[in-house]
Amino acid sequence: MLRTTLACTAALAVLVLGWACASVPAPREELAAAEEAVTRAEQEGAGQYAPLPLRKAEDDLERAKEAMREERHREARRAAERAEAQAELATATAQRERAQAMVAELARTLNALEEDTR
Amino acid sequence: MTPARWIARGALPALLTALACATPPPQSLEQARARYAEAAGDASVRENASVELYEAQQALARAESSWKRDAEEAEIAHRSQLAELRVGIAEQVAERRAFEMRAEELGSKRTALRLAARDAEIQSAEATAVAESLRADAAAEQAALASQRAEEAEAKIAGLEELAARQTERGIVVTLDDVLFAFGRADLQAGAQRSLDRVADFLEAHPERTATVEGHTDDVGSDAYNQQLSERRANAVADYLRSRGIDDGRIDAIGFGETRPLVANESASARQQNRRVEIVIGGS
Repeated sequence: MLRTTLACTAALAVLVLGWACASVPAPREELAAAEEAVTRAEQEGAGQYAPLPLRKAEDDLERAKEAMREERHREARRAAERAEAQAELATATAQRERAQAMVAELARTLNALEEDTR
Repeated sequence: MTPARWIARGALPALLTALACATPPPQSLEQARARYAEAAGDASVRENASVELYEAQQALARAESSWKRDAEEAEIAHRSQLAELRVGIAEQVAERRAFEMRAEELGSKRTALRLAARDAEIQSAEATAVAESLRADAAAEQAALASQRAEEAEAKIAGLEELAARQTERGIVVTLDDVLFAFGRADLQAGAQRSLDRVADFLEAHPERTATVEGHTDDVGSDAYNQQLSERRANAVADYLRSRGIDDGRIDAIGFGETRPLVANESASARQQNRRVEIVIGGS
């Protein structure tokens, strides 16, 4: 009975592994989404206000494209997903930085105005 | 069912699942859980980035489910990293919205201050304009007054110019010298009448004016004699003015005798100067 159990476990393991290494589809949608997210981050001024997250997103996007070329689809998907998330973080950070700067500027002019009217 | 089939269909998957749940979660997943818990515990994130926080929760759930079904560690780590990134996004969005609200607050304050400053400027400009206009009015009034006084002063003298009238602190003084009286007498000569007519004209033209007629003599003769003479001469002048229609209440006649000489009685010409009648026109 133990031999049967071991054989079943081995067969199962092979099946699982086989499935894992075979047909991972090319992550075209994920890659497109990542490209879009990086473009948006650049438009939102991440280059100026959130350069580090943007750089990470761009690097991951490059890795995704390279992995795609070499048909390492699982790696490409992960890199693309990371790139998209990093790019969204870069966008959110840039927007936050700009809002923060605006508050600082407003506080400054308000101070000056209050001084004038004293 | 044979034992082999029973194991393949039921026990093995169950055993595998049990094994998976028994292994400790990888550090990447624990880290993602901790970061999510921190963000979810922050009221500002919950309020200002609820959608982004939900997406982070979904990402964490996907990481959890990959661990539960015992996916390869790289996949669990990858999904955990995605979940952490989503948490970061939620935190940035929450901060941004908080800054935006603050910016709105400050913007309103700035507008209010600018409006107040502009109002203050307008009020101050108006106040300045009013003050200036008041000053201008006051200056104009003073100028008008001054010019009026100047005119009056001129007019005062003009009417009496030919009589050598002078403006003193007592009023306008018209001096009639003693040629207008015969020696030792108090009746007016003809020349005197012409001068007195001018005084009467002036008094008519200026009804607010009064006339005090003062008689003076030199020191020749006794005090009593000179006193009496000066009184009679003053009265003669006063009578004449009354006869010209000047109201009695406006005319006074006084004799000073020799008590108020103009100059020292040391020569004939000096004594002649002292023999005089002065009409002091007051009431200006």
